[in-house]
Amino acid sequence: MTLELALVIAALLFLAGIALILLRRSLIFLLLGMELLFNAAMVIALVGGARWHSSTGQVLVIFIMALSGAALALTLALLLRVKQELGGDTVDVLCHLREEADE
Amino acid sequence: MTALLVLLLALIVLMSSAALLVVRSPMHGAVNLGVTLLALGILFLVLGAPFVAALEVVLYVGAILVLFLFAIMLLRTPVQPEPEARWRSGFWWPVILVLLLAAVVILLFTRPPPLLTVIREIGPVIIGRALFGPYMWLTEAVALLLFAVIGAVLAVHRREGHDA
Repeated sequence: MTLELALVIAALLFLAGIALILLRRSLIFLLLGMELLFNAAMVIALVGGARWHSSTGQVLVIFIMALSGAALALTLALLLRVKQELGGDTVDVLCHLREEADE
Repeated sequence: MTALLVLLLALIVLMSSAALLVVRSPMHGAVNLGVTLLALGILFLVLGAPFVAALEVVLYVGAILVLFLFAIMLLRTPVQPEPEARWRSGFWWPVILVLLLAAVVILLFTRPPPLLTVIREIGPVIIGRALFGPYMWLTEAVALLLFAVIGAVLAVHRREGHDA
């Protein structure tokens, strides 16, 4: 029963992450949603490892952690640069990039 | 007993991640993310992965959440009311897709697959042997990636007047 409930938790996390990415305007909430998506993937990998008594699931989770940390550091740096150059931290501000490219 | 604990964890995750959807201030969002991550750490302990549970607390709550806090402090966004609810015109197709997915999930769980396995704990020793045994080159590649992130962040912040 525990494994099924853990899969349900993973589905909840995935739905919350997708909803955050689709519905919120703020870029920092979008990044929080991305972290939730990574965590959902980690829960599924761990459930697989626990189901088949293998250490591979935990190894995969450790690599996912490293990858999400690397991606987050880079995107937060990009977010600060967006705030500097375009003067805002919402999704709408990024539309200015397209206008500048059109000119 | 364990199922009750995991049910409680599912409730905590549901509430704190739903709170992420409605809070205004980014700082409140970071706090709610912290609660979710701590609940996930307990879930990892239940799933027999103490090393990953410790890494979840140390790496996610300790490092990634602090990174978020730094970003929130540096951004200094004034809290303003959200102008309008963001229901776009193309909102109904995703709703239909979500309903279909829910139907698939319900169909899956009405006939539960035989997952009744005993969870055994897999400790840090086995994980370490795996990381530096068969997965040695992957570990080295991740180390190289994390090193490259430093260079990438420097490149993002380079200005025209003076190079970083």
